[in-house]
Amino acid sequence: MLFNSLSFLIFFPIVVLVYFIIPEKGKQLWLLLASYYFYMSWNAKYALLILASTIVTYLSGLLIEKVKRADCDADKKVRLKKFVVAGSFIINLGILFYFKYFNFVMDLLTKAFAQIHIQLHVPVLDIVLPVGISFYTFQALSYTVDVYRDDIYAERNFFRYALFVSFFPQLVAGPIERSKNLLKQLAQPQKFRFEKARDGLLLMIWGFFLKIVLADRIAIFVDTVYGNYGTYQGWYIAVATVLFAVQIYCDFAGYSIIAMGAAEILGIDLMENFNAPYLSTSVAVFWRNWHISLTSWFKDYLYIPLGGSRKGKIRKYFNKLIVFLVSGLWHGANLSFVIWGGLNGIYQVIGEIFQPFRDKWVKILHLNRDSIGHKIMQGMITFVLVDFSWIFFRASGYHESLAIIKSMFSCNNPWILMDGSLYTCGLDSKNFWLMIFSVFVLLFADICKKRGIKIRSVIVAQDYWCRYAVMIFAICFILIFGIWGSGYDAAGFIYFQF
Amino acid sequence: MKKSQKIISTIVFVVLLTAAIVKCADILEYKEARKKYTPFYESETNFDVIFLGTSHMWNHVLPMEMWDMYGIASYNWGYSNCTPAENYYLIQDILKYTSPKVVVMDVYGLTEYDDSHNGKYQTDRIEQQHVQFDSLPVWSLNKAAAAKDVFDDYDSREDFIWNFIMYHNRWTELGQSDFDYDITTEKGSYFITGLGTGTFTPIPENEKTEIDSVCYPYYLNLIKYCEEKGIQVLCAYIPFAAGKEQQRIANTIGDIVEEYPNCDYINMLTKDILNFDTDLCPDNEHLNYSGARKVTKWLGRYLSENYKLDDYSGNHSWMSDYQSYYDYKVKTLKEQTTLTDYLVQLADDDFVVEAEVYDKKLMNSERLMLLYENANIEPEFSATDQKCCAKLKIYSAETKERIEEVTFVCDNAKNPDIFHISKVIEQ
Repeated sequence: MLFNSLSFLIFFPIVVLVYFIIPEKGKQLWLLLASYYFYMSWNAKYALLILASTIVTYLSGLLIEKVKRADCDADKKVRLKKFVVAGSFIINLGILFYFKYFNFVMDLLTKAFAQIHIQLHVPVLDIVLPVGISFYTFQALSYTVDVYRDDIYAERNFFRYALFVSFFPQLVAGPIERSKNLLKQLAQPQKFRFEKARDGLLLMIWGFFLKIVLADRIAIFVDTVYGNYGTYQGWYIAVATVLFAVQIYCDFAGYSIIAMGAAEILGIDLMENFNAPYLSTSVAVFWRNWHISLTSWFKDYLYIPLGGSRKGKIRKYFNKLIVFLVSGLWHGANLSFVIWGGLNGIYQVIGEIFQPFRDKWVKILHLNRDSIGHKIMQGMITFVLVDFSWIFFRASGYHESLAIIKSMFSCNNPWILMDGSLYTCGLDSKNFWLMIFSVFVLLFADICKKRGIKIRSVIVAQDYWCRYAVMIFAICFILIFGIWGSGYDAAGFIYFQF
Repeated sequence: MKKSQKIISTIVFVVLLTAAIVKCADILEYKEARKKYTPFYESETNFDVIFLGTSHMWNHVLPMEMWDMYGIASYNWGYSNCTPAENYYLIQDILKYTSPKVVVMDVYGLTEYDDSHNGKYQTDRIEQQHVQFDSLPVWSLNKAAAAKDVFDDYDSREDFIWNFIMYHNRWTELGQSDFDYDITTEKGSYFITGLGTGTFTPIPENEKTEIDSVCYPYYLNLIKYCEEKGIQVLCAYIPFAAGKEQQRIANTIGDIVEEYPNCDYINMLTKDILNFDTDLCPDNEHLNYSGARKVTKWLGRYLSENYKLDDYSGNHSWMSDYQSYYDYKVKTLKEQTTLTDYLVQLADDDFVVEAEVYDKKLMNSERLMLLYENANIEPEFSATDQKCCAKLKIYSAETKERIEEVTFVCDNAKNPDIFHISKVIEQ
């Protein structure tokens, strides 16, 4: 059940209505049932997997707590706790590995052995990737570590814990929540609050705008160009790559924001997952503002355990590269994702290495780092670097990535920006300019965010007639200009008499 | 804000939002259904006869002509590729707005759609199905049932329930015709102009075939449904340039409906109604205006003689509507560009015509003379040296007012071809 589907638009109001009507005792169970229903609408049998992950990590929390209270020496306690954490990780990552990475690894091994003329006969399993497995697995594992680190108590109420793992707004696409935030909120049944519901609705409206007006519209252009990069060369690919950066941002951020809005209507505050990432002035800053929940997960549960920046510069750079390579792999079982992640890691490492060099030249040239011009330049360079790496993310594989890059530089055809050629890439001129307009709306919103202006608060502060007008206009705008439904094909409506 | 204020605020917001969405949906909706069916919903009078079926019904049976000839009040709910399965659901909603005495169903569609995915609708013409269902209200449970049943293998069948799902992105196509459009004057029908060429080779009436179609149960259920409502059903095989297999089907259908006392069947293919030299439209299958008038006349007489229908001849509402229809016919007539197309439209007793022909070769053209005769026109040959080859002076039969004087030139004077005698456009 996608957020931008009719079934969700029926499902969600029913869930909200019943949630606020039923007694407090039943609220948790209702949300749990709704969350499992939501998940099973994708594939019913994979609910067993999320249940398994839930049980393993729930028990791990209880076991760790039991060890803490056990009457034995401290070293043994630490060993036992680590054993439980390791067990939780092995089982959960084992499940993740099987469903997401088994075929990929087997394929890699086959190719690697083929290089030394050994033919491996490995089974190719027909495995359907359970939706959201990467998200809920990480969320559940974070709980195990949080209990181990005494950041949170071990949750005794199984149903509450199961709800933490499966809470439907953030289940399939994040944000990857922390137990400290979400579990504690779920422990308190929420009463309906008009202001939160209104704020949540505004968030959902913004999320739907990003997703179905912008992301899904840009996807038409990008899919056309990337799907035919032999024909659409040079500047076509450059434009498509720039647009893909916006597409993936809007797609991902849109979904997260809808999740936040839906949760807020239910009285739950989820963490911010994106913070105007393309206004960042370096790749490192970009990654502090992009998919914040995942970046912070890797920082807390991989980078810091690896030593973080505590063991010298070389080790720090190495740790960063590891984190980004793993992050790439997390996004998909394909070498191109690993390259994408690795590239972002390399950008940051190089950025840090050359920092003193840059500082020196800023001083020599008397540049003002705080000037808008300088920040815009930094922002553009950051965008270009990040955007280049998106080619590896978008392409269907490593070889295709290289082919696309080659096609981009194979010809210099800037006239396509002026002569209407861009309207031949899946979007007619009206849709193309609507897309450009919407990008500027997004830019405006992100600039406001960076400057600490909360547009929702501005809207809410207006008189009721203005608030109504803005919200009604926004909803109608999304319904009319969004990419949803069967859509009208003008060619199909050419008047046939017979 | 107090609790009561919040509740009121929310209700007002929801009402305003709903109104805004309804308005947007109204503007963006494809207007074909509205143009075709608004007169049905706004009619002051009952419709004694409802016509259902495919384009053969839609294009070949003209309710306004039938009223003019026999005083019968009818509405044409036929449309391209409308199957018996769709008709079964449509009639259930139609009967909420009118109480017909007779439902005439064109049975051509019974076997023609079995090759489409589920046999109940024409898969590659989904937009045509929308014309039939768009005018039904969103809250129609019947429409929802049709969406679920008829379009069971169509991914977006919910857009039949709320067509905004399909039309929301029509904003790129919005034009004047979305705000300023003409409602049909033809009571749901649509006559086709122009002349085609085709043949019809009749087969013996006892040549039959087996009928086994997905739509067959719907066809029977429609008959039973009308029987429950006390409505007579007339199943008709509307004439067109039918092939042999279609004729065999036409010969067989009558056997199927024999057991239903409220149902009659007429195979109009065997009634020698048409002349395929004058009555076919340019697609060489459907009938043009001349052919449609003949079918309407025959069918209207059959209905008058066999069913107890009220006479609406003196009804002011219909008289006013006929005037609008007449104006539409005149406008359509003036839009024709060739002599043959004019002659097809002039096969109409609302017009009186004085015709002159200046080219002997045209006078010797059997087919052209047939067209004149079909339109009840006796052309005068004049050997005067005219730059044009033919002339028509068209008058209103009722008021005797001159409607138009139009001259024609042969595109190829040496070898005139009757299909290329073009109207001279005055500068």
